[in-house]
Amino acid sequence: MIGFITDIQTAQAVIDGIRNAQESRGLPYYWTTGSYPIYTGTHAGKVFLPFDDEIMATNLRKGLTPVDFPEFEQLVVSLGGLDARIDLAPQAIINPNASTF
Amino acid sequence: MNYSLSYSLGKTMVVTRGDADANAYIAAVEAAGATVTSTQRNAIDDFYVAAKTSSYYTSLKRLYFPIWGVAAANAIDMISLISGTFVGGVTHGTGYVQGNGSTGYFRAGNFGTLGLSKTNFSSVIGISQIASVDGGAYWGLGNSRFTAIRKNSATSIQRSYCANSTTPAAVPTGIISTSVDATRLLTSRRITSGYTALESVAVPAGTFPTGEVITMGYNLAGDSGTTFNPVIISTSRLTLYGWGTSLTDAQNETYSLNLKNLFEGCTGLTLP
Repeated sequence: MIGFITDIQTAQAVIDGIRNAQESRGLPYYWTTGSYPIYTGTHAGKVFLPFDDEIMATNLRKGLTPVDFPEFEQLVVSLGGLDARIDLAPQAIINPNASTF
Repeated sequence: MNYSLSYSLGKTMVVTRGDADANAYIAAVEAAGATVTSTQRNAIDDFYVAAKTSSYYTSLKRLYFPIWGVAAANAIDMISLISGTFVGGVTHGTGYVQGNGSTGYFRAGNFGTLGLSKTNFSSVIGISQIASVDGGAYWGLGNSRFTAIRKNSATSIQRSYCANSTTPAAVPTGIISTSVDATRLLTSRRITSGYTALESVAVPAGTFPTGEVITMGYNLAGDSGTTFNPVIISTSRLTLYGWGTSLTDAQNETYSLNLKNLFEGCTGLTLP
């Protein structure tokens, strides 16, 4: 999974920014990258924000993708730029306490 | 059929089919950036008219129809026009949405705000292609009140309700419905070849969850309140999902047929 590793406060600020980019335009909050606690591995305790090519190419509305919004670059800069992204193993965000039923 | 006529300033006559809720949904989808063809308009109108004619429309509280290939349009509830929220890696394909099994899911609202209860509940989910991983929840919430529809295996469905589970034998594709009233919990499946009641059992003894339901996974913290802890494990292709109050056996069967017609009429695809 390609994305950013960051702390809880920065992740929340990014998620709030994504939400505000929609609601400030009078739109419902219909899309976000989400943020995911990292439970295992060298980044345990941090938060993962998925920002892979497919997510950044999502057709949000009228052919616009996340990168078409001016706020996108600001958010990416706040995370250190696209080159700061890493490839995280999906197992790292699986909650070990999640029930399997 | 009810029709309305209107004239633009250019004297061009526009004819629209008449259901107001259908027209409102179509307008919302178009405003969200999707294109709705005349064939799709007719299929949508037919669905609303059929739901009202069959007297189950008022039972529907949420119904999402994510076939448009556009996130904003896919997020719109056909009943309230309120939008849910897509999160993470979700593919918005033509005729389906598909989670990536690690970060992608859809937040669809709290059961506690929809007027649902343990003996007044229904759900529906459309699956056009199953994931390879068993156990992937199509929708779900709760821990000690676990309620969900999941792929149990390639040939069986897991139906969970108030922490009681069964695994009816059926390929977990098509339109899978549940309806619960004071006397029974009905689970059914519609595919192209027909409709099958998979089980009709006594209502389980557990407690009904009132937390937030998600699709493409389940909300582990969904027993009650607003706490949230998504567990994302499904990569199946979903075509529709919704929740409402109880339906009769006949309404449940008709609803699934109307949904099949809606899906096929709007996508040109055939239900599994």
